[in-house]
Amino acid sequence: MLHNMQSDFMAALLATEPQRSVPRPVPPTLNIKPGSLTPERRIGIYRRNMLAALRGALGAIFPTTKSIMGVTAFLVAADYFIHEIPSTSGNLNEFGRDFPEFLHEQQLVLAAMPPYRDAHAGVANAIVDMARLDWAWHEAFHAAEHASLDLSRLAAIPSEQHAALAFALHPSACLVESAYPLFEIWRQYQPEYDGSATIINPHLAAEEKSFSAEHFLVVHRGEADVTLTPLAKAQYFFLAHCARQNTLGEATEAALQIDHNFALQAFLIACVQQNIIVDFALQT
Amino acid sequence: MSAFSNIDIDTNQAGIGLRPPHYRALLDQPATLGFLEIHSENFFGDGGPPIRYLQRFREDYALSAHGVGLSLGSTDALNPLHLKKLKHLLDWLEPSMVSEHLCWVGVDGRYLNDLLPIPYTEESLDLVVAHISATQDYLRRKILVENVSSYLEFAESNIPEWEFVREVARRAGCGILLDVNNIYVNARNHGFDPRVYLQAMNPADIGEIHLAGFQDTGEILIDTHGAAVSDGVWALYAAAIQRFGAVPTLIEWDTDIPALGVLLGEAEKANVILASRAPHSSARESLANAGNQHHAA
Repeated sequence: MLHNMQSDFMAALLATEPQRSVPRPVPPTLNIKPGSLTPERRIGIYRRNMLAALRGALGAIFPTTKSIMGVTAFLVAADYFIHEIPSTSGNLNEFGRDFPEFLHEQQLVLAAMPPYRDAHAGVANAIVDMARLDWAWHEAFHAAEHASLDLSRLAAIPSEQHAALAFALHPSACLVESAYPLFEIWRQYQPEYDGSATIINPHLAAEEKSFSAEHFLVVHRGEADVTLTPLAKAQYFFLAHCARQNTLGEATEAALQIDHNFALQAFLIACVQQNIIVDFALQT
Repeated sequence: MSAFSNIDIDTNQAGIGLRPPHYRALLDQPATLGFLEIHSENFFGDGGPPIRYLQRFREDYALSAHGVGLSLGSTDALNPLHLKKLKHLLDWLEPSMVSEHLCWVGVDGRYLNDLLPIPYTEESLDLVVAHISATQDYLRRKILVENVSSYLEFAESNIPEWEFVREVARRAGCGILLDVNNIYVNARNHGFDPRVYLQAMNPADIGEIHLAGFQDTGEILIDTHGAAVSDGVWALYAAAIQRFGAVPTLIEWDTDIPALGVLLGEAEKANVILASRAPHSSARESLANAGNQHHAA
């Protein structure tokens, strides 16, 4: 009885398709007392509250994506996402994990929206990548703490064992690659950005001849706030090997294959200083 | 971490909901407040700035942890991951009070993330009492449950809301977080006398009071938490304090959040009303029971 009521109530909340203002009739099985307002209008209040909460959560987690898309287009995408991908947690900080993939699947729809219709399809791709970056930022913000790597511990490892070391990244660290200069685009949309405000450059996206990732960065939270650090390709793949718990030997070999001038020592020290690399183990 | 824990709530001073726009101001110059109330879920993360801020607030203020996502009134089983994260937070934070809502938030595994109404029936009563009891057993402490505002009534309801709320507390052995604004909103929306609601409560159950602002659309009152407390709600609050004594009182403001000074001004108004009555022994006892003692049931 109660379960049927709650299922019917949920169906009524989700019955009106996104972007349509005329609500569908509330089923009579949902036995709402008549009064000065119709059941449809009463359910409509709850629908608006639900949308406000879920749209608000997405807007807070994907601020850069929202800025690039513009509020109107972002809300269209958000409303479709809210209807099609259920929230599965009572914690709104969990909502939106699948939003970047949803945008990816819907990018033909996205590309048909007025702000992008005339731009290169790459703009929609760049928006998807920015959504991935926003989610990485959000996860890094809430990730666990980790102490810095104690270099004296590292110094105690005999040099003949160095190749068997496996470095660990900070729990907040997330590697992001893109065909688009995400770091530069992201910077333009930060509140403190003092350059001229520009929308994402459609020519820049149009110049991309292939979709091979050529822009790399690591998102992580060191001592204070979340930081975005642009990386060279060799550096990116070095850290990707570390993230997969591969050995220093394997990571270095991969980096040198990309760039035979890869400066291992300088990069390692920088990563330790910035709390990107925070631990190590000896692989046996 | 326990060196600074368990700052007692000063029941003569109202508290405010802790929201990020006020973090800096509240730390730079600690305000005279009975307590700060967090939304528990905002601190379910493993670390980072939210947790670091909370560790600092805990040194200067008494704290209350108020949940919005446990869905006590859902026919779904309680979410074990949600309970686990809540317990983890409470174990280190050691807040003076822990509360949740008398509502459902989702069903069939899908969350709607809004505080949704339950019909007031014996079936609902059995369900929420079982969920509250299980929550208290798991958390090993007493919780407060809050009456919610509503915009509709179910024809199935055959128990008045105030009797339902009182009965939940009696059967589950929990306390009540009495939201006076929600009583006022529901009284206007559904046409009952809000003072009957106050009279129906058992004073010993009332562990906390919430105050907030609503929006009047001309047809219905919407509990927006986005405005100053209305004169009608202040009058009802004064009646509540006369009946229940100086109960820990919270000013909530969640949309269009104003400058901290505006909230402190609202808290000061509550303080004047709180000062009109001495602390009520049963209210104090109720507060102590809502503390860290293990749930006896």
